[in-house]
Order: sequence, then structure tokens, then C-alpha cells
Amino acid sequence: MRAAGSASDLLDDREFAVPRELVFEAWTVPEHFARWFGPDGVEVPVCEIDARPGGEIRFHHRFPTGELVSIKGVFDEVVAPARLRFTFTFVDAEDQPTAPPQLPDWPVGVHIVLTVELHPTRRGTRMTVHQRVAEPEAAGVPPVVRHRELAGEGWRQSAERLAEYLEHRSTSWPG
Amino acid sequence: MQADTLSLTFAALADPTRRAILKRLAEGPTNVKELSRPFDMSGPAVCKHLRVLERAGLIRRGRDAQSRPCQLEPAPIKQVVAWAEAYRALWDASFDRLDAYLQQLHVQRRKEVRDARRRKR
Repeated sequence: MRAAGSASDLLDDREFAVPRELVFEAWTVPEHFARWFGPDGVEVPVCEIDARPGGEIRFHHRFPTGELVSIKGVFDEVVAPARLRFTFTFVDAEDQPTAPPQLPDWPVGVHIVLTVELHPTRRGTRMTVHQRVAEPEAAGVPPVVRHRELAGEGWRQSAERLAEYLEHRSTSWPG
Repeated sequence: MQADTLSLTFAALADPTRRAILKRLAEGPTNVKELSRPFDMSGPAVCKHLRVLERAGLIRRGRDAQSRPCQLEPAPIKQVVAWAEAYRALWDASFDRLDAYLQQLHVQRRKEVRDARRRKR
């Protein structure tokens, strides 16, 4: 079933050589989550996860520049160890919607719905992560979701090739 | 870049025909007649797509009323690629870190289980 908002968009699909329970734990236990989630070089002074439907997720990321960005969200669905879904947004120290410093063009205030699915495999666990924009009116805000469509197979490569090509060609173009 | 400019670019790029047009234009400037050929589309239909691309600043069209040759405009595409890459890199880095962390955790857990068994004996 697809709720209001944008179409769902595959963010990642990979396999880990570990049991599914462990992957689920890495997503739902704060000490574990803080170890891997987020950009390089951030400190995680606050990290709370209440992994049950309606439970909250809250993270502070302190960047080397001193800037503080929080990820604030609510779990919509938690089915251990198979599936979890939460909706989050970025806020600043005063709880006001903000853009993460690495993504200055981020549409401030938009909520992202992240769905994590874990399937047992012979080798261990296959993880798929989907995302979509929660706000129906923001579904047309392409930076959040369409970038992935563009960054997806084929087009990403073509776009890169195109950019590379343009890099070399643009100087010789007639003004 | 302004967020709305970026949105305009993404919206223009969201259509497969328009992406195909851009790919064709990456080979060099050309006119509407040439562009319509591989798409099995009428001139006006192609022109409609060109107008969207032009409004998004992705292409430029010549002034010559007869041929109006089209050419790619590099800046917005470069910005889109940069943005998409930044966001993707953010997640990729996290998931790579998760992979390494899970391995470490797994080894640690197995050792704990082994040690517990050994103590029981």
C-alpha cells in the first residue's frame, strides 16, 4: 500500500554476512546506530531510539564546524527482525526545521519516510532501504526523491558522462 | 543555486524523452528536425519538450528563425549531478560503515558465546 506523498525510491540493496537479528539491532539500539549512521566526522552527543510503533528517534550530529543538526522522527512500524519504518526530518538546536550542512539545497521541513526490510539469505541478510517524501505537496519537490531516480542505474552514469563531457566541451562552445 | 531552480532542473530531467534529447545533444548541437527523427514524434511535440528544457536552463536555442539549433547548457546538469552525488555519498558512507560494524559485532558476539560455553565446561 502506498500512502500519500511521493513514490518510493530504492536507496540501498545489499547483503551482509551476519544474521538478520544483528542487522535489526544495529538499526534499533542507539549505541549501535550511532556507530554507523551519519556523515563522516560527526560527533553524536545525543542518541535516543524507542523502537516501537509511535516511539521516537532522536539524534544530534555535531559537525567539526560546531554546527548541530538533529534527526528527529517517529517509528511507524516495527516488526523485529524483519521490517521497520520511520519518518524523520532535520531540525536545529532550537528544534526548528533546517537543512543538513552537506546538503544546502535540501527542502527544509520535508519529512522522509524510510523503510528498512531485512530478508534472511543463505549468506546472512539482505537489506533493502526505501525512502519517500511524506508531504503530498512536497512530492513534487524533486531534490528529495528524483535525485535518486537520476542517480539510479544508467542515468547516473549517463549524467556523469554527460557532466564529464560538458566539462571538456563547455570551454569550446560558442558564446 | 536556488532550490526552485534545482526543482525546475529535476522536473525537466524526470522525463525519459527529455533525457534522451539531452543525450543526443551531448553529441553536439542540432536542430528540431534532427532531434525528432529518433523519437517518432512530431515537431511540435519535440518543441514542447525543448521549451521545458529551455525554461530549466538545460539547453540554449539559436536565434536563427529557420533552424533554431539547440545546444546543451552545462551548468544545471553539473549541479544536479553534484547534488545527487552528495546525497548518495552520505548514505553510501553510512551503509559501508554499517557493513564493517556488523562484521565486527558478529565476530565479537561469536567470541562471547564461545567463551560462555568454555566457562560452563
